[in-house]
Amino acid sequence: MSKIAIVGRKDVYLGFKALGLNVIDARTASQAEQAIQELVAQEYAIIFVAESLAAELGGVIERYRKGATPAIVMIPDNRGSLGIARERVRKLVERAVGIDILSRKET
Amino acid sequence: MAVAQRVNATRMELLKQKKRLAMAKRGHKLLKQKRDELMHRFLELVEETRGLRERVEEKLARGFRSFLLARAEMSKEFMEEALMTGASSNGALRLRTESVMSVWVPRFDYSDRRDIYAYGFAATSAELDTALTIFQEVLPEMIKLAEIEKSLELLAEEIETTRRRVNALERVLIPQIDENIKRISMALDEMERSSRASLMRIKEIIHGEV
Repeated sequence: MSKIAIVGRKDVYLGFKALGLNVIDARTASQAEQAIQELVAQEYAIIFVAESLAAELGGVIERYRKGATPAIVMIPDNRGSLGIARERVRKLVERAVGIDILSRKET
Repeated sequence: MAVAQRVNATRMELLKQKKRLAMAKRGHKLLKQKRDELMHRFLELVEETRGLRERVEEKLARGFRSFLLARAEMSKEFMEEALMTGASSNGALRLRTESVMSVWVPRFDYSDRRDIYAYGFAATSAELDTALTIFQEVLPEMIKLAEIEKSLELLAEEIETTRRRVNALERVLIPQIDENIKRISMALDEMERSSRASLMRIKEIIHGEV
C-alpha cells in the first residue's frame, strides 16, 4: 500500500485529511523542503506540493526526478493556479522535443 | 568532423571497420526507432495532461471555496475532529511500475469507497459536505495527474539521452568509420598500383636484357 501526502498550508488542504491523505503544514519553502525530505524517507509514493511553495523548491523536486516514485506534483491552493506546473510541463516538452523537432521530419 | 583515430591500412582492418560500420548503422536505426516511439508516447501523455490539469485545477478551486466557507462557519476544533474521524487508514493506493520502452513509469491504482462523511452532522456545515464531495471526486484525477506528470519527466529524460546517442552515432561514429574505410581502401589501392607498376618495370628490365 502506498501513501499520499500534501505539503502546504494546513488550513487550506485540511479537507483532504478526510480522504486519508497526510497533510503536512508548511508555510515556507524551507519547511516544505524538510517535509518533502521526510516524506520521501517514509516512502510516500505521491507528494502533492502547493504551487505557491513549489516555485522555490526547484532543487528538491529536481533531486527526486529519477525513479518511478516519489511523484512530486504541484497543485494550486485556494488562490488558484499560478501556472508553474504548466510551465514545468512545457519545459519538459521543450527538453524532450528539443530543437530537433523540425530536423526530425527529414530523417 | 571528429579526429579519426589512426588505423593500420590492412585488409584485416578494412574488414573490421566494415563490420563496425554495419553494427553502428544497426544501432542507429534501432535507437532512432526507440526515440520515435518514446516521443510518440510522450506527446500522447502531454495531450492527456493538458485537459486533466485544467479539470483538476478548476475542481480544486471550487472545493477550496466551499471548504473555506465551511471553515468560517465552524469552529476549528469541530472541524479538525470531523475530518480526523475519517482519516484512519491511508491505503487505497496501489503502486505498480510499467515499462515504456525500458523506462519504468509508475502506475497508480486508486480505489476509495470509504465513507468520508464520518462525522456528526449536527456540528458541521453543509458546505463541508460539498467541499469533501468535490475533494473526493478530484482526488483520483489528481493521482492520475501525478502518474502522468511523473511519466512525462521520466520519458523526457530518456528521450534526451536517446537523442544524444542517435546524434553521436549519426554525426561522429558513423562518419568516422566511413572515413577509416575510405582511407584504408585508398591506401590498399595505392599499394596495389605501386606493386603493379614495379612488376611492370621489372618485366621490362627482364625483357630488355634478353
